[in-house]
Amino acid sequence: MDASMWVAKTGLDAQQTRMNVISNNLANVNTTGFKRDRAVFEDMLYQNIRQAGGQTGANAQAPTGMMLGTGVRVVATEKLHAQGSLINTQNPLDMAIAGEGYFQIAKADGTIAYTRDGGFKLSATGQVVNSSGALLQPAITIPNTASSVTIGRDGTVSIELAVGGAQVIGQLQLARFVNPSGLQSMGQNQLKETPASGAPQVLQPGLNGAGTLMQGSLEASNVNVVEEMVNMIETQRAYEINSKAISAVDGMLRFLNNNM
Amino acid sequence: MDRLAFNAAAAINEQRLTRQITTNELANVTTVGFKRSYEVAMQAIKVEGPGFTSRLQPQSISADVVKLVSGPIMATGRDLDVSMNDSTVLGVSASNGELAFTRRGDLRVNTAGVLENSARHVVRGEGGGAITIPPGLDVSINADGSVYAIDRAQAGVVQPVLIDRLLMRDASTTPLERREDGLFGPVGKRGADVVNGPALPSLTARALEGSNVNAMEVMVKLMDQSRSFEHQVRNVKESKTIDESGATMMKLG
Repeated sequence: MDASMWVAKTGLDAQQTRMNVISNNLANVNTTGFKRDRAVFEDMLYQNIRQAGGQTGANAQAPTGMMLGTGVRVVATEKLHAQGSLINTQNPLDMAIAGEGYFQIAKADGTIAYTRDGGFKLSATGQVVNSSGALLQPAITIPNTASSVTIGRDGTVSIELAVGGAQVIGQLQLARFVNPSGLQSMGQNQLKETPASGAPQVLQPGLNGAGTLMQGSLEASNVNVVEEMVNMIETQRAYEINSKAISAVDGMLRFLNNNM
Repeated sequence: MDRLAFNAAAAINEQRLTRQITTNELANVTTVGFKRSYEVAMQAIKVEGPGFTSRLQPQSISADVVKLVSGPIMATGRDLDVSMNDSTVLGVSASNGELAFTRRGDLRVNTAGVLENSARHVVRGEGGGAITIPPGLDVSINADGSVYAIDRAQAGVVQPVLIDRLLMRDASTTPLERREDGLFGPVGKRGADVVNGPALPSLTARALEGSNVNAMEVMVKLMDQSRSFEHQVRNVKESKTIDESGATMMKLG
C-alpha cells in the first residue's frame, strides 16, 4: 500500500510512546526522589530515490539527489537529573541529597541498588532501612538507648545517649556515577548500575563532587507539571496530525477504488 | 488505450514520492533539530515517439536542500542541551567516520566519556577529533561552543577548565543536503567541511530546538496533494470513457 501511510504510522507509534513517558512522569509527580524522563526522537533512515549528479537527460544532471524519509522513532528515554525541591519533614531519619550522588541500598539478592529517595526508617533491630525494609549501605544500627539521632551534612551519624552524652556511631556514604543518565530504573525508586553508567565512586558526602546531606528533609520529584502538560498538548496534537495524514491517504485510496 | 491515461499515471507515480516527503515531515513534527527540505518541483519530460508532441510527463526534481529555518527554542535547563542559532550547524562524525552536520543539540557523555548527541553521533571538536570529558567532571557549554569542565573535587575556588570547542559552522551561504542517515552535508560534496559564512556560529545553551515543520502549512500541502491525486484519477477514468465511446462508435452493425 501507500508508503506515506506507514510513514504516518511511525509518527503515531512514536507519539504514543512519548505519551507513556509523559503520563509516567505525571503519575510520579509526588514520588520522593523521582527523576523525570524525556523521550528522544530521531528521524529514521532516508531512501535515496534519485542520486545527486545522476543523468536526467542527455546532457542534464540532477543537481541534488532525492531522499525519501521513512518516518520517526523513539531511540531512547533519557533521565533528567535536575535537583528536585527539598521538603522539610522534621523526621530525623529523612535525608535529602543536595547535589549529586545516590544512597546505596542492599537488595535481597546481594546486589546494591541506588536511590535518591532518602525516606529511611528503623527496623525492629534498630537498623536503618528504606520504606520496603532493605538495608542502607554502609549499615547503621541505632541502639535503643539513643534519645536522638543527628546526621551531619558530611554524613556523620551521631546519637545522644541518655547517659554518656553524644557519640559518633557511623558514616554515611554516597555513590556517584560518571554518566548518571546511563543508570537503569528498576522501579521502587531504585536504579541499577549498567555498563553505560560506569562503576560507582563511593564518596563521603560533600567531598569530591558528592552532594551534601540534609537531615529532616526529603527530595521531591523533579517533574514540572506545567512543562509536562505542554508536552502532553504537543504530543496529542502531533498524534492527531499524523492520524489526519493517514485518513487523507486513506481517502485517496478510497477515491481510487471507487473511480477506477 | 489513450496516452492520456499514461500521462496521468506518471503524475500519480511522481506525486507518490512527494507525498511520502510530506508525511515524513508530519511524522517528524516533534523531532529535536529536524529540518524540512525545500519543496519538490516538477519538471516536464518530453516523451519521444510517433504522433503528436503532446506527451509531457512530469518528473519530480528534488530539491533535497535542507531548509535551515529555525524551529521553536525550548528551554530545558539541562547543561548538555544546546540549540544552534541562525544557520549554525554542528559537526559530528557519521557512522562511517565521515564529517557530517546536524542541528540536534541534545548532547550527552557516553560510556567512553566522549561527547555525543542522542542519535549517537559523536560530536567533533574544533580540531576534528572527538571531545573526551574527564570522568566525574561537570560540563557546561558556552554560546561560542566552548566546552568547559568543572572539577568539583578540587579544593578552594574551582576554576572551569576549557576542554575543547564544538565544531560549528555558519551554513548561511552553503546549501546543505540530507544524507541517508538524516545528517546534513554540503550539496554534492559528501563528507566535506562547510565553508563558514559571514555570521559567527553561535548556540544557545540549556535549550533545545524543536522541529521546524509548520504543521498547518504541511497539512495544506497534503490536502493539495490529495486533491491533485483525485484529478489524476479522474483523468484516467475520463480516458477510459473516451476509449469506450470510441469503441462503441466503431462497432459495426
